Amino acid sequence: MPAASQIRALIVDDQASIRQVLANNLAQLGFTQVAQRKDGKEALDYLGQNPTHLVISDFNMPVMDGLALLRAVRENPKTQKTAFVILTSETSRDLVQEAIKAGVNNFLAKPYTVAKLREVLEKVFGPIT
Amino acid sequence: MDEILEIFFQECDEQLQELETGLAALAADRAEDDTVNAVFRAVHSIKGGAASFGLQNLVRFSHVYENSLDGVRSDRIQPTKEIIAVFLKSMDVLSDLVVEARGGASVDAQRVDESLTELKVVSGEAPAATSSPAASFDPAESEAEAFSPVPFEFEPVAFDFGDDFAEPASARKIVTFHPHDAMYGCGDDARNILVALTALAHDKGDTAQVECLTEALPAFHDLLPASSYLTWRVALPDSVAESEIRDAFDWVVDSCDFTLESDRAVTETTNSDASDEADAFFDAPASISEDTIQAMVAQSAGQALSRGASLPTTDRRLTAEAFLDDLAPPATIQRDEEPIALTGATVARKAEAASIRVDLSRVDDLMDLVGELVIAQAAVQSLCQKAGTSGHHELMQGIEGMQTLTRDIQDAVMSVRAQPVRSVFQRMQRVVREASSMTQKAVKLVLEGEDTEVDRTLIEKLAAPLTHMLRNAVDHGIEKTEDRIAAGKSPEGCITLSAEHRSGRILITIKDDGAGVNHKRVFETAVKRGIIAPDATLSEDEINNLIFTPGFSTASEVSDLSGRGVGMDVVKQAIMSLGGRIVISSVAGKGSTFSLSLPLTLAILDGMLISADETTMVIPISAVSEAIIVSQSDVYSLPDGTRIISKRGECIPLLPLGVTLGLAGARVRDTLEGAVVLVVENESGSRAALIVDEICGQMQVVIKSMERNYRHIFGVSAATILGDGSVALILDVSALIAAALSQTENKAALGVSELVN
Repeated sequence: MPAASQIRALIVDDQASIRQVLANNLAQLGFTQVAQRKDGKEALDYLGQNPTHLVISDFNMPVMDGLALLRAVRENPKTQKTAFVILTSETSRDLVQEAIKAGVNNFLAKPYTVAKLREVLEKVFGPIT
Repeated sequence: MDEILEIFFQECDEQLQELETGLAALAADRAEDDTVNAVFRAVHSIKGGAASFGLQNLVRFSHVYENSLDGVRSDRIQPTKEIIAVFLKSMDVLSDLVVEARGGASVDAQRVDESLTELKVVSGEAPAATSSPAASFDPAESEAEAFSPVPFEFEPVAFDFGDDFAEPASARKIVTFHPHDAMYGCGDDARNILVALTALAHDKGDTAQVECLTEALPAFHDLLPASSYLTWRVALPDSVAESEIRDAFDWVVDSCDFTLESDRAVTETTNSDASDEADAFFDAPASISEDTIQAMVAQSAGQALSRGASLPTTDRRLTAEAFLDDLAPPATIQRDEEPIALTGATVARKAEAASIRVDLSRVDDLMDLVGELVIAQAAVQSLCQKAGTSGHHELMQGIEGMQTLTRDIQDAVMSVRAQPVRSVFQRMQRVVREASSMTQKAVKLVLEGEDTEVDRTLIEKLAAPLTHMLRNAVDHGIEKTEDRIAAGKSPEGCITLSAEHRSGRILITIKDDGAGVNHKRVFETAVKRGIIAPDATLSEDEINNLIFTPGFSTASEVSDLSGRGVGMDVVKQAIMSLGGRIVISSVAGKGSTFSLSLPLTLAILDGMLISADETTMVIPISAVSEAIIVSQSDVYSLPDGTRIISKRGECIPLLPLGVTLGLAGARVRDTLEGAVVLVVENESGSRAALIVDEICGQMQVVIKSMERNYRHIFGVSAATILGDGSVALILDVSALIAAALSQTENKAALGVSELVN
C-alpha cells in the first residue's frame, strides 16, 4: 500500500501536451516524483540512471515505440520489476496482445479520467494513499 | 489547462506538417520505410490528444482518417494516386478542424462528411451503403469496444518499496580514505583525490560511488576547525587496477590513511534496516549539488557541520540522502569540462533542455533589447571618441570587447529567431493543390531550399504574398491542359518554389513552366486601363513590370481564384514593405520567374555611415561593392547630360546623392575630381555610383520603419537612431540604382544640366 508520493513515475509520450496533462493528473493523485521523456530511447536512458517504480508510456512514438520500450524494460534486470502501464488510444487488438505478452501491467485508454487513472494504478500497486 | 491546450495545438501544427511531408513523399514515390508510420503517427497523435481534451469533432475525424491510414500501414491497402489524393484532401480538412478547435472558422460539415465517406471507402470500412456512417460514429463507443473485451486481468504488482532497486551485486573495489590534518596543512585537497578516483571509474565506462563517513565528526563545541574528521569510502568497479588507485594517492600517501579492499559487493555497505532503506530511497533528492560535495570535503568542519546541522545528531551519514546508498541514484562524479559534474539529474536536465518552447513575444522583447543595446554600445563608443580617449588603450580595448560581445549576442538572438522557410513553403502545397483543383489544371509544386533559415517575423509575413503569387502562377502562368498538350509540354504544369541565401539576403524564386507573360496582351491591357499611352515604346522588361502596376489584371476571364481585384501590385507592396524587391523575368512559351529578394531580418542592419550635403545617412553595407576617389579623367558625360564613371572598363552611372534625394541645398558639383563615390550593386548586378561627401564609418543600426512612423519616401527604406541620438535615413539602394538606370536609359536628366568634358 504505497503512498503516491513514494512512487517514482516516468511518463513517456512524444506529445508534450499529453505528458503535461498526465503529470497534472498524477499530481492530483498525490504523486510528487514524476519525470517525463519523449520517446522510448530517452526513457531507457533515464531508467538506466534513475530507479523508477512506474512507467506510463504511449504506444506510438517516433524513435522507439512503447512496445519496444516495454520489452527493453523487461529485459534489463535493473528495471524488470518496474510497473509498466501503456497509455493509448490504439485500437489494434494485436498490439494489445503483444503488450500483454511482453509483460505490460495495465492499460490506460485515452481519453481517461483521473478516477480511471487511479483505478488503473491501484490495480497495479494496490490501494494508493 | 489553456496553456497545455496551446501546446497541443502547436503539436497539431507539427503533426500536420509531418503528415504533409509524409504524404508528399508517398505521392512522389520516395517514401522510406518509416514514412507510412510517421504519417499514421501524426494522425494518431492528433486523435489521442484531441480525445484527452474532449475535442470531439477532431477525434471523430482523425479516428476515421487513422483507420484508413492503418490499412496502408498494414499493407492492406496500396496507396494509389487516388488514395493519396483522398488523404491529402482529408489532411486539409483535418487541418481546418484543428483551426476550428482552436477557435477559428468552423468547418463546413458537409465537407467533413464527404471526406469521412471517402476515407471510409478507402479503408473498406463503409461503402456508401450504410446510412450516413459519419453521423452514427461514436468515438467513445469504439474505444470501449476496443478495450473492454480484451480478456485479461492483471495481478497487482507485488512491490516492496524497500528493496527494489538494489543493483545486481557486482564486485567492487572499496577504497577508504581518511586525510590527516597534515594533508590539509600542505594545501592538498581531498576533492582532487575523489575526482581522480571517479575518473578512473569513468575511464572504464562505469561509475564510482562516493560515500562520506561522518561518524568521527564531533559536536560543534568540540570541533577543532583545523582538524580532519571526514573519511570517504569510494566504490570503484573491479576493472580499475590496484596500481591505478595507488597512483591516485601518490602525492598524499604520507599524509592520509587509505585502505583498499577487493571483491566486496556494494550492497554490503547499505543499512540493514529496511525501513531506513526505504526512507533513504524516497528521500533521495534528484541531484546532489556541487556545493554539497564542496561542503562535504570542506576542510573546515564547521562548514560541513552547517550543512549537516539540520540532520539528526546521530552519527548517521551526514546527508544520508546524498551519499550513496546503493538504492539512491548513484552520485557519480564525472570528469567533464567542469572539475566535478554530477551525472543522474544533471544529465537528465541536459536532455530536457535540448529543446524548449518559448513564447515568441519574449524572443521579440529580447530582440528589442538587443537592438537598444546596439544603440547604447554605439553611443558609448562615440562618447568616448568625443571625450578624446583614443590614448587610453585599455578603455578602447574594453569598448572593442563590448562591441564583439554585442555582435555575438545579436547573432545568438537572431539564430534563436531564425527558422527554416519550410513551414511556410509547405503550406503552399495546399494553396497550389486547391488552386489546381479549382482551375482544373494539373499542377505540381516542387520545393527547393526549404531549410534556408530566415527570421521568423519574415516567415510569417511571407505567407500572404507567396500564396497570392502561387495562385497567380496556377491561374495565369500555367496554361490549360489542352493548350499545354498542343504546345508539346507535359500536361502537368510545374511550379518551382525555391529559397536560398544570397549576399546576406534571402532570394525566393517562383518559377512556372507556363506560357510566360504575353507581352502583347499586357501592353494592350495597360493601354486600355490608361496606365500607359498607346504610342509608348517599352522594353520587354518594362512591359513585364506593368503587371505590378496598381489595378492591373491580365486574366481576360476574371476567375474565382485570383481575379478578386487584388493584383500583383499588392504583392509588390507587401514585399517592398519588408525591405524586399521583386523582379519578374519571362520567356514566351517557357514560363516566368518571379524573384523576391528579402533581408534576412527586419531588425538590424550592417550599415555604412555616409554624409552628403550635410546629411548623415546609412547605406546597407551588403549593397556597397566599393568606394572610389574619383579622378576627373574617368568621368564621361553623355549627350543628355548624365555622367558616368568608367572603372576597369565598366561604365557606371553617377548619381549625385543629395540631388537625387532632393535634399535642401543640394547642388550638382561642376567637377568631381577628388570626390568620393560609393559603387552600389543590387541583386541582379546592376550598379550605380553614388556621389557622397564623406564616408563616416561603419556601424550596425537598428531599423525603424519609415512607413510605420511617417510614410514612404523615395530612395529611403527606413530610418535609424545613431549613437548620438540623432536620426539617420537608411537608403534604399535598389531604388537609387533604378533611378540611375532610368536616368541613363530613359534619357531623363535628373537636374544635371552642365556637361563635363
